[in-house]
Amino acid sequence: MEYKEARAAIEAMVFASPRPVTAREMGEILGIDPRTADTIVDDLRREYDEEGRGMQIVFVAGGYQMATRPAHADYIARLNVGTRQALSRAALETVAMIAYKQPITRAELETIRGVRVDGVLSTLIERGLVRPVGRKKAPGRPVLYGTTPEFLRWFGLASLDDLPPIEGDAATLPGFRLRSAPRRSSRRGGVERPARG
Amino acid sequence: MTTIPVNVSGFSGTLEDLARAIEKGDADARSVSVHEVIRACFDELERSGEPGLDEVGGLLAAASALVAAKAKALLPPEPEADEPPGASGEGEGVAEGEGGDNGGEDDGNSALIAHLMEYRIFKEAVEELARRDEAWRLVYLRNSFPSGPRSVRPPEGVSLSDLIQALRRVLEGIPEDEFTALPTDDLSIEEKMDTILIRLRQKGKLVFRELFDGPVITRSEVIAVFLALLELIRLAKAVVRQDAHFGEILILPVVGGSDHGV
Repeated sequence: MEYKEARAAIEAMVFASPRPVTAREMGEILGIDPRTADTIVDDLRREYDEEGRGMQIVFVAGGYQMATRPAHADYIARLNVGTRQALSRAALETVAMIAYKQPITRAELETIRGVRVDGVLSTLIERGLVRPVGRKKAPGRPVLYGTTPEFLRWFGLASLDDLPPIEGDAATLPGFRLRSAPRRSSRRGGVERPARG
Repeated sequence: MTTIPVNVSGFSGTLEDLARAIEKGDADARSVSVHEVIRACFDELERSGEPGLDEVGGLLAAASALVAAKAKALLPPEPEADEPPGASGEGEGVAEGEGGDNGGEDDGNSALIAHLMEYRIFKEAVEELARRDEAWRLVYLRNSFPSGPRSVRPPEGVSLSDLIQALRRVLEGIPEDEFTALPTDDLSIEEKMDTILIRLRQKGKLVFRELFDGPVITRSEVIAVFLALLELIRLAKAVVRQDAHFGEILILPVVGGSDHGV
């Protein structure tokens, strides 16, 4: 397959897909090495940047996806296509705990947070950030919760390994699932992250 | 950050330093009276005239760190290797670089401390997630709206009780299953769901009663088909609609409703 054709096909796939497209998928479909697909996406991305296009390709939830740029958020908001509400503090804390400790039961969440979490939990489920992932083999078979791919998209995370690192002694805590040092800026360094703050 | 000086036996420095020292074991928690130290701090604050919000806040933060440190130092009755797992409480930039050096011998810390620690550790992660939440609100991912519930689609104009009534009417026309003691063919709701979807694709819409057409249908089969319909509604692959009261209940396919993954 010619480079130009592959590039156009990849652009089309990333554009059309409602979910992040992985390099592997693109590789399989086009019959090319996934690493080549990565390179082509990088080329596209550079093109978008250089031309100052309103579009960017971001790497979230394990795949590539088209997105707008933060600079144009105001204009889009005025289109009335719906803006997303920021999460409440309680929701953020709860979803963070689920993300780091999944799978986790509601009772375990409540023990850590010291407050009831049912309301927050249903908000998170409604927004598609959290879902039941199974049941714990314990009396009462309580439901275990985990995060969804939408959670990764929501926070612009490439994968769960991309979660903010938890420092130091977390590993010594019982049941704590410490993630390895995050690969912050790997070869996907070209992904434009929106400005912080 | 508070800069109120503290002088107790064998220690002088700020309140935060004291908390940190206790946590590290550099100062003996037993010899420090939290009450006295904090009393002294309040006196100091009052002496300095009108204390600002920052100072009072800083004092509170440092005082809680002190209380936490003292509690931690006193609580676990572990004889040796009582090096605490980590840095002190509320201070900024304290935690870095202190983590990896206590080779895991602290696993047995009391659950209380574990929870306190856990909560504190999470706080930083939560801050970062909050920043990301804010930042990524400005980025519109393709097809990410509506990002809200992809959940149950309520029947349009048809309540669950309407459906059950309709089911009852269908069941009325069917005799009790015979030979119920004999094993019957396994009824697969999944299969029934597929059948309904295929028929919907062919016909565009189905009248409720048509679901139960077919050669010799048993009551168990009716129930299976009904459950399949409910499941399809739940998965947003089909909707039910009734255009008029007491009218026919229609089942319609949901266009593009089959894709569930993100």
